[in-house]
Amino acid sequence: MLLFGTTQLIAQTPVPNKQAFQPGEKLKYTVSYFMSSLWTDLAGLEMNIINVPGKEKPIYRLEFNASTFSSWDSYVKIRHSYQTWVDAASVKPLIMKQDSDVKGHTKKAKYSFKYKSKLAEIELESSDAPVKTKVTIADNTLDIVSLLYYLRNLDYDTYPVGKTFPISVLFLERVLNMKIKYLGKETIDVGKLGKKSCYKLALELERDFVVKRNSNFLWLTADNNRVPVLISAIFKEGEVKVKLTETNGLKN
Amino acid sequence: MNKQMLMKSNSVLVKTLIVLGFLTGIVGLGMAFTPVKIMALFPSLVALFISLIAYFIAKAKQEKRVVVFIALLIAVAGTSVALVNEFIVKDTVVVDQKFEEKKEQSVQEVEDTDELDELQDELE
Repeated sequence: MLLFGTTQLIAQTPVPNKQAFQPGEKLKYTVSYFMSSLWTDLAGLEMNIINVPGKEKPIYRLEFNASTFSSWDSYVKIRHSYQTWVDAASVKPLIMKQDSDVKGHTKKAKYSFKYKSKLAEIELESSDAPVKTKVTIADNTLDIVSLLYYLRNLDYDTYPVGKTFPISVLFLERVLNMKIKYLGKETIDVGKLGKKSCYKLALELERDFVVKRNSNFLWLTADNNRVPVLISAIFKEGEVKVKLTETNGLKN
Repeated sequence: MNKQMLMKSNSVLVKTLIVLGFLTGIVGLGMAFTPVKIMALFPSLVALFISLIAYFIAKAKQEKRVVVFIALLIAVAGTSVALVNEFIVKDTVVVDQKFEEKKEQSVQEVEDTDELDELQDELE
């Protein structure tokens, strides 16, 4: 009976049915790091949606831009830019481009998602020589940016608490198999934006990779925008929280 | 009386407290200018506490208080700078023009080709 109940909760990767965002949306976050028993604001993160002009079938460019705050910049200079072009209807990634500069170590990466041939082509430029490689992907393989937008498009009101579904993510040139678990609703204090009722999700990895496998949580507003208000994860170096500070151009 | 008070040197206890007050105060003031400014409150408040004790002992024993004042001043400065930097000065995200140009170039490299259309066709 118990086995039957558990099996019921592990479903197939759901297909999103309603879009919670639109081009022009801009979200701002503060990235805080838990250091010596205190939370320290380390960097700012911006998430933008841009419509790519002149396309027959709509394509959105999803931008993640992170940069250290001025007080930290001379100690730990961090610049990350992830640009993911997605098919607007399915939010499946077509191309992901990463430009990073962490304390002078630069990295450029490009992932091209070829779903028909179930392959992703990876072009990498870093301090070492350029690398070109291919990895096998599945129908439910996303990248780190499109994952967040895909999760916004799911209808959690129809999910029982504990519902789990698989997803895979191409991140740092590896395909990571993950499980997304819906943990129910929680109220989160979003500072100036007030208290928000949120859907809480656990993002479980197969094994520790960059972050601890069972330490990643995401809270989305329990409304039609399903805005990510808080992300928390435990890295080898410590705990990190990404908190929403500003919203612009929300769809609903 | 005042002349006598100025002339009288500090006791060992007050001297020790002054040294401790100076050390913690300088550490606090230094930290107040770093990104971990809120942590500067710990040494600065300790410095303030030690310097105040030194001040009251020196006053009761009618000893010199000039050096104690300087230690107190450093502790107050460390505490104030830490509080102002943490709660009043707004930390902003660095705008890196060079990095922005690189990012723009990356976008153009993709959007100026037909690659997106070809990859989108693969979804059908």
